[in-house]
Amino acid sequence: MADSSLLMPGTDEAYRAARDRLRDAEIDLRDRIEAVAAMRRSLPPGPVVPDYTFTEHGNRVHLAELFEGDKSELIVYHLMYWADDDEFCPMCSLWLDGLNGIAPHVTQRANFVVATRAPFDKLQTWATHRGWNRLRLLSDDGPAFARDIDAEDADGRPDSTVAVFTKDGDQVRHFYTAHPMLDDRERGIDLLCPVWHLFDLTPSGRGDWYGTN
Amino acid sequence: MEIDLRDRIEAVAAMRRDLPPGPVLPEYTFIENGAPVRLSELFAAGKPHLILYHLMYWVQDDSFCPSCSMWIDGFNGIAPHVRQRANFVIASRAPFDRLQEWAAHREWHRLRFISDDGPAFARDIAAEDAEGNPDSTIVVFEKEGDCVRHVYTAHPILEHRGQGIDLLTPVYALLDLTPAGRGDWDTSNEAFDVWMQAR
Repeated sequence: MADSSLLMPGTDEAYRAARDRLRDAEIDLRDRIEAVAAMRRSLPPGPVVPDYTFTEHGNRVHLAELFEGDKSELIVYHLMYWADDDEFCPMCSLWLDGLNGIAPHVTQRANFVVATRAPFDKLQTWATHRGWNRLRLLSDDGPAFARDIDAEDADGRPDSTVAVFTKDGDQVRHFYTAHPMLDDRERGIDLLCPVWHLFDLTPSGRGDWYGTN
Repeated sequence: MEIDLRDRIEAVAAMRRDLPPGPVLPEYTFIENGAPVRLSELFAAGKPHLILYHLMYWVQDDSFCPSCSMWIDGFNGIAPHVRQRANFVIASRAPFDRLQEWAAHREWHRLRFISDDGPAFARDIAAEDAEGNPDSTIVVFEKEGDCVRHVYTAHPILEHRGQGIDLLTPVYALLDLTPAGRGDWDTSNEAFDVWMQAR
């Protein structure tokens, strides 16, 4: 049954029928998003991880200290930085442009930080340039954390990474990791960025467009 | 399952791109900084598509929807990217000065805001019912010569429950990565204000 709230005055039968089929597919997609989230919540506990350290405004901060109040979950976005070019990833930065906006909401339920291999002052300069004034920013203290979450390979090449940790008493456990590359192609973390889903509403779609700094 | 989900998101987008043309629309008008603006004037040269988010406003309470505002908190951040490919505006039934005040309060400096000129537009996109109750709406238009056509509409309620436009905010997708998930949490304008004051 067509939902008239999705149609405008003057809509013809061909559009109505196609929109009806699309609506069924959208309902199915919404339900699958929730089903995948339920599978994720059912993951068994990950390993207890070392108490990695980070630098924040010249101070050393431990992973376990990133859990504030009674919030037992921590989402870390690891921002790619190329030391050779002294450059931050344009696509990571596009993701963070959106995540900066919604940080006041997400942090009502979970801890949320942005970490990177760049020195803290570089990170801060970049955040100011992009207008990121709602994010907690951390610089990794050495390569161990980035290597262990696969945000850096053995040759020092960065990859963007979202990793989730849980606090279990005095210990911190790994819960979940994702990267943009999923099964040998990209778009593995597109759900975290509205840019693609807005483009997906238009007739020309996302095409082969990429964000640039 | 994540691979399958990614592929289905793309398959649904492909179905959307295959929609037949929607109807040609009247020249709705809006108010922007005290001046009337027509729907067809919201298309920049070379950009035939317009994405419009309609922000719910309750006249009786003079208040804006907290959930719409959360969506727009994200849109504000990514507007410079979206506008490289498509026109993108926020419209509302609120008077332009109220809309501007709310935008300043939420720090929305990267978005274009317009106020509906009368109820016709909001009613035709189902952003307002016959009794004047608002609903949030995302709608896409296409410019074809001198005409503007309807392309697509979505609302949060999809088949009698919410989550119909969740893809357009990273909030739920981020919470979906955690063991506690999104639960029955809803944001509020007050919680946002508390957070910003504590920053």
